Amino acid sequence: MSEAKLSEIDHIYIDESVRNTEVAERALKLFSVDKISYVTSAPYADQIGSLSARQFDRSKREIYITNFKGQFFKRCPGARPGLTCCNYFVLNLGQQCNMNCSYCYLQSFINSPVMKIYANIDQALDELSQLGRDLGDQPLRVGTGEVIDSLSLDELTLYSVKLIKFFRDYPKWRLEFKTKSSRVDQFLNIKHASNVIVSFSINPQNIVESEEHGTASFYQRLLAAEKARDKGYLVSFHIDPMIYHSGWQDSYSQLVDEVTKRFKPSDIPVMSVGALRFQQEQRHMMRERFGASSLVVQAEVFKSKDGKLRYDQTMREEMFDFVLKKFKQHSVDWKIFLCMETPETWLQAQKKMPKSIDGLETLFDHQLIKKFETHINSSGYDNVIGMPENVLN
Amino acid sequence: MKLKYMSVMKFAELSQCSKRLTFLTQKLWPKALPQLAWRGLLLTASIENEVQAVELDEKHPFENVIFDIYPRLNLLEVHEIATNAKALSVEFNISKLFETYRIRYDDRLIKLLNQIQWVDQQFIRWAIDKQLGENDLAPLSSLNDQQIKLLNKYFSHMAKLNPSKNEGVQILEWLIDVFLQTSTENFIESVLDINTSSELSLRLKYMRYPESTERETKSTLFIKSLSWSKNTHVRAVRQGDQAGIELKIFLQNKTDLKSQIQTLQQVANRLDADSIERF
Repeated sequence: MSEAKLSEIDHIYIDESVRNTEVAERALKLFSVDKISYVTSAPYADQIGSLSARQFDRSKREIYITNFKGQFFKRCPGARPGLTCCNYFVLNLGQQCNMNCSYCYLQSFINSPVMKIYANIDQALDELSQLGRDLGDQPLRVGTGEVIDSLSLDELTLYSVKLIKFFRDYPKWRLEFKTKSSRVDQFLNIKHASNVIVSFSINPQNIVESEEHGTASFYQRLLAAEKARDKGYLVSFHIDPMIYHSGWQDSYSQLVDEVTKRFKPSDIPVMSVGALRFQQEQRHMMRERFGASSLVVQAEVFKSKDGKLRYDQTMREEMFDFVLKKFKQHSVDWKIFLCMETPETWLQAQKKMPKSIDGLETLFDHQLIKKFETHINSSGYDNVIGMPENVLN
Repeated sequence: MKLKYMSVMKFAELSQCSKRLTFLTQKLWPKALPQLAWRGLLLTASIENEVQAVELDEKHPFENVIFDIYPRLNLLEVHEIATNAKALSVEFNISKLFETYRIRYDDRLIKLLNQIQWVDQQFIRWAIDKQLGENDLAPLSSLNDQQIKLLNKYFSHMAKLNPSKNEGVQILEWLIDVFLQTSTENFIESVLDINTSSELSLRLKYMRYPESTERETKSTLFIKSLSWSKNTHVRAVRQGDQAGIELKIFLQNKTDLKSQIQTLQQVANRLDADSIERF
């Protein structure tokens, strides 16, 4: 299966109010007229309830270009769409994804019958400028790719280019893209302030084929990362979610070999490793959409303390330990942290908490670490630490 | 019994009721209903020797009248009424009927109900009795009609064992998972020989979690091989995503305590010697 293409989109709805925006005009150039409708209200507005499997599938093939109504950035944890945590902000310039991973958390999160792309990016940038004035010299990180892949639809939006150019004026800030696509060519030749990190979620090719439908192959992602690195962009990898299967050691061993063959530890400021986890209520949708052949549907997972289903903790430790050791065999300079893991697993796999691991202190904001420590100290390791997924994932 | 739509008492001759809605709630309320008719449709079970039915106000829609008669119905009961009413070509709004019972009639539910029609009736009666909801029955949406027909003997067997709601919902999901993960030919029919719901649940758990079961079996054998003292009961247990052991020690005095500590130290030494970190 190949990487999802714009030609696979069945229909584009353009809200009349955004008819003259750049993204709407680009849609007119990229899609045939019969695929485009102008609307004055959201499509399928009469549709009630949670999305069925059929509706969720359809929502990946129909785009609604509209304005995001409200503020993109809010200074309050848990606020959407701009979640704030110690000057870490999430910028959601859309909702839903045109790729189709079996484990995707959007299956239990999204309730929109169509994929949304917000046309008012300029409003988001205005809000960021205001934040810049408020924060003065303080560092700030903006991540995209929480509820929509940062780059897979960039051919349509070209938001990466706009953001990179905007961040040139803020060299102390950091912009983070997160993707499973290989679409980087559009910004390779843009002048940047060395403050852009392009991160790729990666898995062995057999897992890509089995579970990450419509994503770029493992090798395409590595090639895209090489291109970005060669143009001076910071690059990061998230080996997440690791998926247990027969022969998993061989698969992940090859993955580590490929990464270490193409990159030096100094190319990659930090990497993360995480294991399969998903909300309990999403399992029915996964079973229905991907069938029993999916390794994710077959997974032997159990309810963890945060309510998510995860592999047995010992098994997770074994998997993390394997990957960490593999990287360290190549070089002790590789910096890796465990993504969305419980303190017990951190301690077992790393023998210490993230703050005390050399190289990771820059990744974990001081206040975030403090919050993390307080939580651990007060709970006696009993509680799962809910590291914001958008910070660590 | 006081019905909202019965304010003006009128009677209809049963001979004028050309259609009868077949439905019998399993609930205690209402224990017994008079014969009620609406727009020529006999809504409640006919009573022997009666010739008349109380006629409900015709101007009110079917869904409201039904709710008035049966104020508390679960998903499958509402579905049964809707199915029977449709078969009788009764004019009503199916979405409103479900919503009257606070059940969202959305695409997900429509698919589930479409699959329900193929499910064994004995299982349906059990599910009605246990008041299963949409989420409890959701695994059925992963099956096509042929697969449901193949599984019906298992559903029927499970219903005969009459598990509790929680146990039954778990059995249903594991049964479907195991069925989907193995080919139909290999699907183990031996579960049909099981006589208790707890045993059926346990068997399916082993089939659904083969690797974890194997790990736990090994763990059990290992902990049994350790030299615990006589008054100690040890067993492998799982708490969510964590597997470990549960240790119960009976002590009467300080001597017992010291002796236990010594024995536990010996167990720890054995673990050290074998470089074992976890049970």
